[in-house]
Amino acid sequence: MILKDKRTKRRSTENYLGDNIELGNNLIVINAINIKDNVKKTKIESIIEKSMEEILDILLDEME
Amino acid sequence: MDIINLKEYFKKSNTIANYKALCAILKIKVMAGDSKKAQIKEMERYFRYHKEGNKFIIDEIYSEILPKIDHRKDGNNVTEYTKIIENLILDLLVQGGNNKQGFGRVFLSKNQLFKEFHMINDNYVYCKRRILKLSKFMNINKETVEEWYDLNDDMLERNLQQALNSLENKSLISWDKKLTVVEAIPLAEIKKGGTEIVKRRYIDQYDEEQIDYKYRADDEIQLNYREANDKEDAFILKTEKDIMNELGCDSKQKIIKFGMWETFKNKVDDIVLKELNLAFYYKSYKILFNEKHISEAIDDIYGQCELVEDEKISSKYLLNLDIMDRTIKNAEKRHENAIEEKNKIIGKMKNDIKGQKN
Repeated sequence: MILKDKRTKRRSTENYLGDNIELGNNLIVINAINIKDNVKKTKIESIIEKSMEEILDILLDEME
Repeated sequence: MDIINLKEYFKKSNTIANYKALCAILKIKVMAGDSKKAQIKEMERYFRYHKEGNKFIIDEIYSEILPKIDHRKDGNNVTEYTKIIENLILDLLVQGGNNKQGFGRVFLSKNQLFKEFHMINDNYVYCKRRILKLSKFMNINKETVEEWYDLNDDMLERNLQQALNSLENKSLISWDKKLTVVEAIPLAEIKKGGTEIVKRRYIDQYDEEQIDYKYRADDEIQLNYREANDKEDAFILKTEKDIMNELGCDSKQKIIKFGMWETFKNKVDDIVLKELNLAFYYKSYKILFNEKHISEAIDDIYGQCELVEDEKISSKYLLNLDIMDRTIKNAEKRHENAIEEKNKIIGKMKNDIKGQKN
């Protein structure tokens, strides 16, 4: 119920419609500008992700 | 909807415990509300049943699927753009996929088809894997971005499947969603100690980690795309579940939500490569067809054997506009419903307060 209320609240905001249109403009409209550069992972993010994978592997090995 | 499975079940029993069990037999998603009603309506085209409490008693499985009855004003259940998708599918089939076996066959992923028909643009798939960053870049609530992808991806796939079903209904194609595997085959002669396929990771222009596959002997390998056999399918399924458990998740949706999709995929792919020599795999649409009939169908529609380039471009452009329009209309509906719901809640709260005062 709380989740549904949260969703209702989010969907009823003034921004909701504009946000949806903006998402469509960037992700569906065929002549949209390329935004890949803006959402690509930074080097540090890739390193952190890789390290997290390695830490997870070590933890799993130790658990076994 | 796996009617064959239901037929198999029907040989043993005509009683199904409840809706959830029925969905499991038909291999379809468990739904709720209007989606469930629509789903049950769709089932009624395939079989007749009656209910005893929660139980579904199957009376008959039709040998031929009943036609769709549409109660909407225009009397046409196929949206305008579903028709465009149908024509674009036909055009795609007539252009490629035919082989010398007397029939045509294509394996295409959902995203390949979406992109080919301009149902999405180049940003769509790339950004889908980076929702958090997209949300920050566009300054839009992360939940709204996730919801946008969930709802619109479903809508696009439904439209695609509607078009495929319509073509199947006309006996022009036969389609199924299958697991496609990509075999890494060494081209060079196999030499002693040099038969291993080696996976190489590198960073591309977007600073993204990419993977390619090399044959250790002389770098020459050929990627062969084909349908997975049952053994491979089962092995991949088991590996996915094992890794899912390792990561503490119980669904792929959760893996994506927690930002672990790449970790998951890398781990599964590594095991699959090592054990089955398969470079990677993905769910794809397998479409079988007869080129002669497809050409005739296109001929009927356009009076020529293929869509001319201009027509194709304008069809895709129209489809893109229609889809954009549909996503906005759906968002408007959600927004209006939410306002209505919110007003109801506020009204109820006011009444409760009044009641307490009295």
